[in-house]
Amino acid sequence: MPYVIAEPCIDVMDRSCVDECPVDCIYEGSRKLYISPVECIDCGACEPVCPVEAISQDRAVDPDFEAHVADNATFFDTVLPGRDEPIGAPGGAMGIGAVGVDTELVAKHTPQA
Amino acid sequence: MSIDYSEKIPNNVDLAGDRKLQRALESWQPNFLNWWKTMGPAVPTEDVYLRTAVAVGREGWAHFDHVAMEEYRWGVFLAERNTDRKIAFGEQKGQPVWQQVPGEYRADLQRLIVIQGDTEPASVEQQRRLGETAPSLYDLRNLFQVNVEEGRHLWAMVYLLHAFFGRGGRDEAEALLQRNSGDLDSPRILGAFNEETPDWLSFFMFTYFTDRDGKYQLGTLKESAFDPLSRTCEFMLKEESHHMFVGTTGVDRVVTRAAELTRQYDTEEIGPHGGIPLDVIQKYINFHYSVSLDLFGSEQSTNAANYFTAGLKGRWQEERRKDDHVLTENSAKIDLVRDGVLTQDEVPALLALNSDLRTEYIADCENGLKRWNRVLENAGLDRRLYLPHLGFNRGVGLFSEHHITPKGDVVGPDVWEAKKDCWLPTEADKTHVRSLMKPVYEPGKIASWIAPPTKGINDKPFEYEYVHFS
Repeated sequence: MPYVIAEPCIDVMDRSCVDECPVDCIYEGSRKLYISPVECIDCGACEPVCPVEAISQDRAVDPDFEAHVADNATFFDTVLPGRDEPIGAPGGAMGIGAVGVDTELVAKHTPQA
Repeated sequence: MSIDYSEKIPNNVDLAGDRKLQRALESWQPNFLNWWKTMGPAVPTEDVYLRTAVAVGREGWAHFDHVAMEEYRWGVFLAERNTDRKIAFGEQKGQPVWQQVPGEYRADLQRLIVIQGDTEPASVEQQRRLGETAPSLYDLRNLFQVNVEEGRHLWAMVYLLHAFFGRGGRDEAEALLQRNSGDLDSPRILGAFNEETPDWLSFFMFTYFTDRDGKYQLGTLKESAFDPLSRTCEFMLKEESHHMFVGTTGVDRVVTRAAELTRQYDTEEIGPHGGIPLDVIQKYINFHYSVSLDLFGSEQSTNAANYFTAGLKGRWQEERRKDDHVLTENSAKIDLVRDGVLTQDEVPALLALNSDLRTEYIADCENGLKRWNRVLENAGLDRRLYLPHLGFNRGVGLFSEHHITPKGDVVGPDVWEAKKDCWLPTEADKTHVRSLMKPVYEPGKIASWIAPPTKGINDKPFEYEYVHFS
């Protein structure tokens, strides 16, 4: 898995990374953004623009946020609440718009002020 | 500071406020344009749908439009300055970054900038004739986007040489236009930039493996205590992302088409059916990956150690690393061959910085292979592509005196000679790939050996007329 977005994005969703991504592989949940592990090309453009340093390569994720490595994939591989099938790899976030729901891990996270 | 497009040289460094520097760069500009005309893209075009930088901040930085390539606004763009920035590593860690070049580091910094700068025009030269055989207008446009941005990266390095290194810097800026890729008398500095890029499979491999090396080299220079260099490289990395996009998705599409043809004709021998066999794709991976590994230099390097200690060049993601950022007490393991056997040595971490950066790069490349193997898996094929052993086909570093197979076996020169055609592209392989390189310039059409992209550029469809010919 290439780049991942971790816990600091929750309830922040600055979206600067979305503008930088050359393959439109950053998808919008309700409280957090998620990088498609299938569509990400490992270019790294998203990482430096994140104001809360939520983005890193999977191999360099802060140990406290390790669960978010698998959770980014979960967002695409599992059937999210209110949906009929997994998001999969639709080839770009713009085509499907804001997904509007989160993974269980993110949904259960205590809201940040 | 916003980008001033009213000037002859677009910039966000207040060039108009430094008349001497402005005149120096304006006198270099015609030489650059002459180089572009003689060594840049050979296919004549009226205009191309290109991305041009219009800002460097968070508000968005790119503008897309049809542009006559020779009128592309090459300029000088640095990322925004952080006035609180401190040196993150080395013996001056914690001190303010430098806005001028300290005299004691002048020669080393100039050398680092010249080496980086030399790669930028080199790749344009290598790719000069590729437009004549583009598999689609979409791909032709992507090639030209890469070319104009490599030209801009040359401008970025030339600005630094002119602005901070006096006469020596100006002489080096001239020399960047005098050396040429593959020239026997005056070649480019690094080996990979003297290799041919004779076909589009090579181009996609180059933009995957060699431009990805650029991501890591620029990433280390972005950490530099010399703040103008850091800010320059930070902005270059934004543009470099597109080059990696071209490489990653380009190889994706070649593999996708190879898988389709393999399934359709139930054979991996898809050459007669207008495809590039997976075996040949593997050989190209072997070549481009191994040549790109050489760009990281020798596994043990006192130069790299000195650059780090002085604050000139950091590690990948330096500020996110959880160590003392000085490394005088740390050790690291490096791979090598001893007595004919692959083994590891523990050495001071400072001496192993090239190896450290290369390890990060290899992890990226492994992701690329996973991606391409996913294409094969989804196509129902058992065949898998792989990265060769890091000691395979090396011309630089500790492995360069040994013969190592892609699987990692140390062998003698006789075995190497007998088997190398199984591992590296042969003349017959290259001839076949070249035979497929026929231009497809009709909007919405694509060559037989590559799948179309899943989407166009900047929300335009694949069928969009990205290039108008003159």
